[in-house]
Amino acid sequence: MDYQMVPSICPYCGVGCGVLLEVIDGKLAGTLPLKTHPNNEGKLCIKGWNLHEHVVSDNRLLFPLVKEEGRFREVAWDEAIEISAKRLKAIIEEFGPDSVGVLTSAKMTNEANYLIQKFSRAAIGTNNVDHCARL
Amino acid sequence: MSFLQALLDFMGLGGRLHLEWISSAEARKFVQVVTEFTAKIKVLGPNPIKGWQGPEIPDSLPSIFEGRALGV
Amino acid sequence: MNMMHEIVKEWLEQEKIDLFIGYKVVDGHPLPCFFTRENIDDVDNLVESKARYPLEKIAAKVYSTHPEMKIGILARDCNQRALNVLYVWNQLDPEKIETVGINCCPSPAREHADCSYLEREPSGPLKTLIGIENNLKPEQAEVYSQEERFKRWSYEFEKCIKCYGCRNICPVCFCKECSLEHSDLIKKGELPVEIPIFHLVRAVHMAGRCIDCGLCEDACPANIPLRLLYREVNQITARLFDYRAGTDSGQSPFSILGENVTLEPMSL
Repeated sequence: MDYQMVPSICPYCGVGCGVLLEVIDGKLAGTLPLKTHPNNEGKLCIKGWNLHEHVVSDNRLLFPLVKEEGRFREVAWDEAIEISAKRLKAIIEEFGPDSVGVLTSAKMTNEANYLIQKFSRAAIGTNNVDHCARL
Repeated sequence: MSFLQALLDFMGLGGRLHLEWISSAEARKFVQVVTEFTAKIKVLGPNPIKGWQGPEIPDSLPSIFEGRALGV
Repeated sequence: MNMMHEIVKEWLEQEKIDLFIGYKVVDGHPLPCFFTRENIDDVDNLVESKARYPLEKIAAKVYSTHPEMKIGILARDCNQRALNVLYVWNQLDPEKIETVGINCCPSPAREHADCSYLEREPSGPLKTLIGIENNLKPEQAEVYSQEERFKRWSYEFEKCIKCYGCRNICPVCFCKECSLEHSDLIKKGELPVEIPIFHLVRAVHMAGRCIDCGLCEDACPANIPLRLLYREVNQITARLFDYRAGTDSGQSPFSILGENVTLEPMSL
């Protein structure tokens, strides 16, 4: 029986509420608000309360999938990146860089998000970058 | 039932809930109960839940509000 | 090393308990922590903590997966009442639980204490004018007319952002299926919540269960006077059924589960 309470920060929006992640036997089992955190003072919204769910969700994508003839096929990372690069390049050549939009995620780090906006601005050449935490 | 009646009364919906056991043979009692309850409800007026348009926020707040955040 | 540490160490060494649930300060935050026999020196870090967490809910979680474990708990009066309710509803086995009692939060019986309920913030002017103040007593909320009561409570309920925090933090909310998630009772994905159905459904379920710990109000982002509402619900229960949750040992008058409650673990 191993039980740990790991203090962390909610990744969803810019408020940065303190959360406590309940880890039972190495598995994420629950989220509680961090009562002594100055930002949220023991309060959370529904997204914060259910943080643990997307980590342990059965619907979580664990490997790249390529859709061929209406079916998903599991592929290796190299192949997936190659396919996306080829398709992106073709689309940009045909319709221009503004035909591409990039949606990033609040559940990644600041650095990863910086990298994605750099990728879309410098590599693709579009300002169409957005993020789910633009509340 | 009396529990729910008390709770609704606390919430400001008092007197709007009534339960009565009436046998199919007691037509007279049925008429009496329904007439009494409808009369009571008519006095109370329409259900406030239906007409509720959201909180009425007053235009001016009392003077204790001095640049302080709106304590909701 | 104080008395609390000595007692816990003694209990762990004598195998009176297998683990102790208390608080430990990590990075300046008091967090719920498990103290075990293998790591007995860690007991010196056990603190009382001003921030309260539903420790008994954690204990119930442990019990549902490891029913053989003997658990010690740091217990304020509210924890103790919650434990009593969990015993009544068969969520915990009183034979498996040992408590270390500590000074508790303010209650009608005891005004001064050392937990997060010590200093309650005064309400702002808007709330005083059109809402229900959190620190009122149930009787004080009944001075308004029926019409005014409805308006004031509706203002409070309208603020709800449906975070389910009150239910999630509640030490005595243990149902596997919650009425608040039932699509026939509560519409999904709509805000504001149906007034007053959402809050009354929860209030009704708190009758004969709520132990007035105030964690729900603590966790409410909209500062709805939930503690006041559930206090009234419990007063009605006491008046009508002569049952007081947390102190009476009998089954709640609202129990429809019967005597055979299953203890299957909740899915993670």
